[in-house]
Amino acid sequence: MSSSNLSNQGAAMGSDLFDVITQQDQVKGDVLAKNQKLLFDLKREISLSSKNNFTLDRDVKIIDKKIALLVKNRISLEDVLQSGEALDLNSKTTTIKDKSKREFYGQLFYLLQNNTHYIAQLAKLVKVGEIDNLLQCVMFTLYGNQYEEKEEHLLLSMFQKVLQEEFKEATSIGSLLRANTALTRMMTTYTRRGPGQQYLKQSLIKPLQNITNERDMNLEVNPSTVYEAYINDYETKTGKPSPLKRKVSPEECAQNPQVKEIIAPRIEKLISLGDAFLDSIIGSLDSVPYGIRWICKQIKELVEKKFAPNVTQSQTCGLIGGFFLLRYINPAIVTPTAFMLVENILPNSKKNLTYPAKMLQNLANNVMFGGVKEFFMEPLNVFLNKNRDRLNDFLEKLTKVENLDENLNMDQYVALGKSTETNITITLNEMYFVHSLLEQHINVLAPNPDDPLRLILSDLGPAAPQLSRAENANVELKLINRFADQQAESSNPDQIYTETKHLLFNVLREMATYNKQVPQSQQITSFAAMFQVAANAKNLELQDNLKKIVVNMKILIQKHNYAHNDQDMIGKMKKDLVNEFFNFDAHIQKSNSDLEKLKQVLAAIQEHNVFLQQQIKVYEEYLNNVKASYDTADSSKKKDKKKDKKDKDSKTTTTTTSGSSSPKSSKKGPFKFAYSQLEKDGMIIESEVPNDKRSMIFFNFTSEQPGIFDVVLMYRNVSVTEIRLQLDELLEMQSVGKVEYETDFIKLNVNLLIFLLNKTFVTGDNPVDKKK
Amino acid sequence: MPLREFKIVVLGSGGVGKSALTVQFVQGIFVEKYDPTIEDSYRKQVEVDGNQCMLEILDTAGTEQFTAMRDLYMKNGQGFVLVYSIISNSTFNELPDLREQILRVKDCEDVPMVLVGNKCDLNDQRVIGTEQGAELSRKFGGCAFLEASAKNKVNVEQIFYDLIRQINRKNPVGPSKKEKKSVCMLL
Ligand SMILES: Nc1nc2c(ncn2[C@@H]2O[C@H](COP(=O)(O)OP(=O)(O)OP(=O)(O)O)[C@@H](O)[C@H]2O)c(=O)[nH]1
Ligand SMILES: [Mg+2]
Repeated sequence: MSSSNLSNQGAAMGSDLFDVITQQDQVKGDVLAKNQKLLFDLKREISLSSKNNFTLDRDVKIIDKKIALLVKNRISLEDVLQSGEALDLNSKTTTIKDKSKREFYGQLFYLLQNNTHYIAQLAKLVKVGEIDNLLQCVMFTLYGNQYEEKEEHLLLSMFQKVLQEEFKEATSIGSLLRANTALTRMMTTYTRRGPGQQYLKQSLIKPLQNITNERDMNLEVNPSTVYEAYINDYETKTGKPSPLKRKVSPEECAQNPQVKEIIAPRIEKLISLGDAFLDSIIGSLDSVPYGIRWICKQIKELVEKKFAPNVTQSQTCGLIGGFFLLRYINPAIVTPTAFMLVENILPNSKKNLTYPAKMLQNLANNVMFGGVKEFFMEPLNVFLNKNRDRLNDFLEKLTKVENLDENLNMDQYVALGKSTETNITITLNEMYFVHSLLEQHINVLAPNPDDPLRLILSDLGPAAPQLSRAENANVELKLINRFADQQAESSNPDQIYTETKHLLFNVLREMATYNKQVPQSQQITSFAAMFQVAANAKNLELQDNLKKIVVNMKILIQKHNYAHNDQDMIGKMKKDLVNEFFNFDAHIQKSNSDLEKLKQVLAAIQEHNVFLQQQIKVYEEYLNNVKASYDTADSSKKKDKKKDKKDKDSKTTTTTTSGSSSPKSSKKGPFKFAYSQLEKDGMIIESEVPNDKRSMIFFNFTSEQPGIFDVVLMYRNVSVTEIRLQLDELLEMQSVGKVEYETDFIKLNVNLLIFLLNKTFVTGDNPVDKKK
Repeated sequence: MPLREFKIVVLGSGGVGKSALTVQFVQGIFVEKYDPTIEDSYRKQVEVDGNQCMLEILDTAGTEQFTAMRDLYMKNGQGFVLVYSIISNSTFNELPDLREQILRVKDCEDVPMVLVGNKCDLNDQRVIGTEQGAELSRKFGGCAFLEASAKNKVNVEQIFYDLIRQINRKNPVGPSKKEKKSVCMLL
């Protein structure tokens, strides 16, 4: 850029350049600036901690899987120990010693971050096993500043490219966005970022608690299940076999009067719980994060473009609902613990929660219950009918958001006063991983021999192999724009305009400070003077920014006809700036409420982090135990491992002393039961014992340890065979609906067995003895 | 012979036709519309090899966002139908992990299972060859393999019948010869 050119520009500016600045209210501006600094720090912390949680969460799952394999002798202890190393990466940082390597990587990630088509293409090329790692790197590292509008903007425009591809390939509306693809994974990973999680908390916690706080709530409306539960309940409570026939057809179950009586109020309850969810979701429309609404908008526009005019409103809403409800809201409803919405969940709540989720699901898909699918859901059509319009209306509203460029303006004050430099926090392994993916797919990603990506990759050389966990660490990588000039020309004019506008504001602000310190006569009123000041102060960043403004303005005027001339252009930008930024009261109010919300988000993330850390501690202790038992007892290896596994499963960790090692002298019994009596009571369901022998058979029940019962079958006072019963096992059978306890020669009713054991051994009165 | 109960779980990626297969089997109707499932449960009584069986079939969510629900129903299931679509690579590639998870949850190597390549009526769009399916079933310890079409009712009953037979072989009904010994003096 020649200096004569610049001074010409300066001459054309006019002296009212600083009108923008003088309209600022300094005091309020400072309050806002302070709030914004706090917000910025908070957002950074949320971004880093949510990334850390994401990785920890995955690590916990990996170790869990490996331990399970270890228990089955499928992998070695060393393998497991290795994956347990250095789990918490957050604390470990390093630098890349080689300066040119550091810069090349800075250039590479700048290129990837700003030219979104590389990642968009890559996401479709990678293998199943690689996609999660890639997405993690994209969502939490490359665009890891989750509240940074510029990064959000870039990330979303990357989405746009992938979405467009998906629509291009689609053959029918019915199949769109249904299968699990790189895109749907991306959409979900996106909802896992801070803002998405915040909305879930806000809209779901209350209606969820209606269910998860209720220990005894049962919303089961499947008549077969209700029928069985009714029988089980009857038998375990009374000790008498139920007069009802087992295993009848679902239709018959549904006709049973008791079953009907149980189900009717549950249907009512479900409808009111469903309403509560819907009210809350619809009511918090305004807090749905912009990016999520924007994705909904894209879906709507793309589907209308592609299938018009043969697309109905209900089809469009079905698709939007397919993303918003099916992939975003409903998973959080059915597994709220995985989303940090509820800390612990009772087993009965789990099943209960699937019902409201199914109701919302059918509502969004515009599908009635019943028909060829679960017939017993039909009464819930009441819910669908009364809410269909309401939901569609909401889904329509969801898509009413500005386009990316307009939105970027909304909160721009945040970006002001911040340096234009970008750093990302990335691990060495992430760098090497992305590098090697790019290498593999370079021919598709950059077919052109002088594509910038090719140039950078050839400077970088081959990708290093993955490091062991112990060697891996975080790097603060400064992103560098290697192709500064070409870049501006190729990007979208709205984007250039916005960027220029904000550069201008930054520069003017800085100059206003300068003007305050000098007499009126020396005050700056032109661009040329600004260049002078910047040069005198040796302020390189200021110089760069000024140059960029001039270059951008030229591009906008000459290439895109944004304005007639410089003056016109500046006038336009000034007007925009005044409109956008100086409604301070509203901005301050908003920043206060944002601060409050973000603090809550951070608290939740940190809480989850503590939970994950504890889990890892449990695993560490477990692994230490295994190691110890390997070292000491070689003969009883298997046994020790089994026991450890049990400890782990029950989550009671280390010091569970198993009963068998220290037998307690709490022997109870024997209690004697006649075969004929048990048969009469309905306990014996089936038997191989010949009829004529039955009258001479007794069962002796004894218990040496709580929960374990030995039953000896006596024939003419001779012991014939023995069965060992475990209460745990029986309860487990009952909970999964198994009612028959099978031994080699006899089948017993589980409910009645539990009743008898409880009655005899726990409460101490022997029902049979009493009868005698 | 009394009615025996079988708990069957149908698993696989979204859109492969789990619901279509299940509903075709239970109701004899092909579901054209794609309505992603969260979790549906069906019962049907059938006669297999002269025995009356009550099947409880759990049709699960293929949508990956619901995978956190899997552990629970894997624990309760006795037999598993693993479905992919012959016109989609990714649905095929997801199955080995799914099988791993079943074996892990069941803590057992020998779990009754049928591998199903669905939508075989769409032969012109096929991307997974029959041989590839067979190859995968060999990797799955020689588990049963069928190509099926929920739409044209090809091999639908066979899937469930085969599974019932497998479960029967694993836990035979009534006493086996060997077990009888202990009580033979009674008999
Ligand atoms: N041509 C053809 N289409 C099928 C077949 N089976 C299912 N479909 C179609 O594929 C789509 C998805 O089928 P579903 O049975 O709903 O898929 P799913 O596996 O239950 O999907 P999720 O519930 O989301 O896990 C529907 O439009 C079906 O009509 C088949 O054998 N042939
Ligand atoms: Mg389905």
